[in-house]
Amino acid sequence: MTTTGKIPKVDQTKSYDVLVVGAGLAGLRAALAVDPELQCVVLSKVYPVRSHSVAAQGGINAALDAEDRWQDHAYDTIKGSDYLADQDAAEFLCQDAARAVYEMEHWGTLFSRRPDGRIAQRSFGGQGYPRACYAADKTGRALYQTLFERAVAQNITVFEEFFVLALAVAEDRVAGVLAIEIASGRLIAIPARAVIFATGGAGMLYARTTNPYIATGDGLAIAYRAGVPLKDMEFIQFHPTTLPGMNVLITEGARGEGGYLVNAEHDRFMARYAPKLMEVAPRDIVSRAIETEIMEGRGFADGSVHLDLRHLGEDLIRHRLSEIYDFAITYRGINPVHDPIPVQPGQHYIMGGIATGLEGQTRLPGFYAAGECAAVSVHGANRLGANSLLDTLVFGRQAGLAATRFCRQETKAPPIPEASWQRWQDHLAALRSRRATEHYGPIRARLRATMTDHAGTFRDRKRLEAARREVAALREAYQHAGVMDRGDVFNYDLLAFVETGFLLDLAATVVEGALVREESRGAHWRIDFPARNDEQFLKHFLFSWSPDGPVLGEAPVAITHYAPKPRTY
Amino acid sequence: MGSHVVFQVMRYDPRRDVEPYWAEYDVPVDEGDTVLMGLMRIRESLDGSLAFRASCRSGICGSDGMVINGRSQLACKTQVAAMVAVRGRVVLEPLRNLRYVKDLVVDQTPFWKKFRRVEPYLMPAAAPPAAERRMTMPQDAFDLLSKASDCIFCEICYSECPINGIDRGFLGPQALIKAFRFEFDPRDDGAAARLAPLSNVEGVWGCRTVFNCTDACPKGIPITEGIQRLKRKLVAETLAGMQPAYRSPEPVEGPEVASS
Repeated sequence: MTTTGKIPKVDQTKSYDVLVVGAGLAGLRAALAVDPELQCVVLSKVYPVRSHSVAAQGGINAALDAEDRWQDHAYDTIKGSDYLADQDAAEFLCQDAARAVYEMEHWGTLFSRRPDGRIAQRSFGGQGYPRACYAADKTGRALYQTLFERAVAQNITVFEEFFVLALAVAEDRVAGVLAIEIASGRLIAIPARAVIFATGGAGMLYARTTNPYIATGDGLAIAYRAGVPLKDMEFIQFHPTTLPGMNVLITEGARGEGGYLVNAEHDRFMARYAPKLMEVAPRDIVSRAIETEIMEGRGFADGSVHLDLRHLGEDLIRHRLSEIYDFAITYRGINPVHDPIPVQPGQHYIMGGIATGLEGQTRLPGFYAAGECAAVSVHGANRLGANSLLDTLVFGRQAGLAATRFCRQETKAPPIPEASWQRWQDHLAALRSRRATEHYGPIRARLRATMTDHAGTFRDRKRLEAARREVAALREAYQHAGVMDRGDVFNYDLLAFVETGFLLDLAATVVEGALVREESRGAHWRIDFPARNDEQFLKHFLFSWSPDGPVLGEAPVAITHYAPKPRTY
Repeated sequence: MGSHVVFQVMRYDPRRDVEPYWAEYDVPVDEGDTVLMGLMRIRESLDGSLAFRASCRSGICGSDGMVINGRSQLACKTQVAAMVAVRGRVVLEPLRNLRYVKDLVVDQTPFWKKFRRVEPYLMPAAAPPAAERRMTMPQDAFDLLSKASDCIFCEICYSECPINGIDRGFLGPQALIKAFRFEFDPRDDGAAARLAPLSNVEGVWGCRTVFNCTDACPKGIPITEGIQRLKRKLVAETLAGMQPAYRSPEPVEGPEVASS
């Protein structure tokens, strides 16, 4: 890794083999999979350890036990996806899971242990077997630290605090990226033979989200603008249990360990929604159940239901759920040993993303994507808990290996067209000098409110059409908005302005997909079309950029062994 | 609350200002708001030019360490009300012991260089088992190391450590607790490689057990205690002449590091 904070001299004439954008789990795993003989560099808009992978709590799924089979894991994943997952991809994910987990173990991950020393596993939503390997309730951090340490050991170069603005395309293939060096404000062009995006999610589309400030969908929007289609954008996951107010995540592991959800009438209401799996039903079902309880007046005054852990005992709570114990005390002044935790659903994950194949490849030669920003699609209409960490490791590696193969075939990177650098240079200069009447801040706030109110857990035509109008109005306002910071050094104002543009592009795809998909499937629930409609909608939507908004295409769902069935739990 | 609170923020833009100055913002806050929520409100609606790092909002990414009312803390884990109760306002300065760059941003370079100096990765004692084989670890080893591995690289210990303030070479609490996490991992065999960076006055022997790091750590890691265990281990290893026999799978004597 480059030493941090120092401004690395990025020579515009120097070309890299592989550029990885994003230094979370998927990005670092991709970089570690790239042939060390090749020149690989990772770019991140933050220091690597700030990536949101570290926030994952509950676990990583793998069929490790003799009594468990990867085929069962695949079935649970596909059923959980409401049959929208590409089944070949889901099978690949689950078959590779044990390898991925043991690899991390051998690299040093501190997993929680069973009494005999083996990796501990717990129950997670929508699964027929306790197969979520965990490290207390900080599994993401445990995995991330290990990968980060491997990256240090193997001297992976990271350019920290570089903000990628655009893909450079030439000769119908990827040519590199354009990025701002945040410390100096310089716009630089970095040529490369292959580019891998591992840029994470877009939770900043929503007001209520577990996501970090940095989850602004940069990679998705950049790919989309470069002509690479996005897929399944209407499928947004709302995590059932977040703390009201900040919407900090309260792990599904709390329910996996036996926690109850109760409404204001002291009723374990999940019995009415998923009598068999109860609290560990898949996330889409539990989130809707909670929202329904609240809407029908059985919630608490702060718009919550209660997550009751008291019967689990202090020892379990303080050891296996130590992080959420701390959250409840820090942010709500509630000790979960003695009192239930108020929870409400919040945006958590975006199932859709850059359309990729099993090797992370996209329609643009040399351009790959992995992790939350990609849609392979293994999660379909609803991701199972503890499958996203797995996704990052399995498909991050796939992308790194594929980029290596691509570099072996393709000799030279095409030069980055001078015009694409100049266009951004002019744009940024204009922004810095523009006397705008409106700051992007209010636009961003209105976008979050719009998406939460009109494109959330429950949707219908009326609300979605209102969202479409509002997003269009915000896009118009954005054309005339500006920034307050006219400087170069650490100009976060400018970056947030660009991010707002990314979010506006993505919001249009989410709303458009949600409008056209006149059925209810997984996390996408249409009050006006409350049933799944396989005949018309067992297919992916693809979203292609145009100046007038997203143009919709379609792609078939890969079916291997599992015919779609009604989904009950 | 549901009222307004004064945020007094140290501002400085190296391209524009001769020296840092104080700016005051009248920030609307609600009950339960963190300092970071107030800062975001400043950036989004009062003054977009205020520079600070932030990401997860909930004390797990380590981005937003800063000096708040005189002490290094995470803005996202600090309640506005708690600060107001003591001082009537929120006073924000950049972290200490690192070069000042802009507003609340510091240059983290030395911190990361020192982290890398301790060879912070598992050096397995034996070749890893075949990919499909299980590698086991006793539960008590997990308990010992789990807390130490909670580190989020927030640099708060580095900012609060008086030794880091007077000795630019001192590795600092973070690098040392990281070394502890590997030195006490029964699967690790990196003691010889880490001896040079650890066993000198810029390593563990620089620590004067002031406990500032332990007091300030937002993750509650008993850092000082971990560093003292490293000292005892290094003494034991030196006395044993680095003979392989000293390596017992059990941690050396001393109180267990509580796992929570």
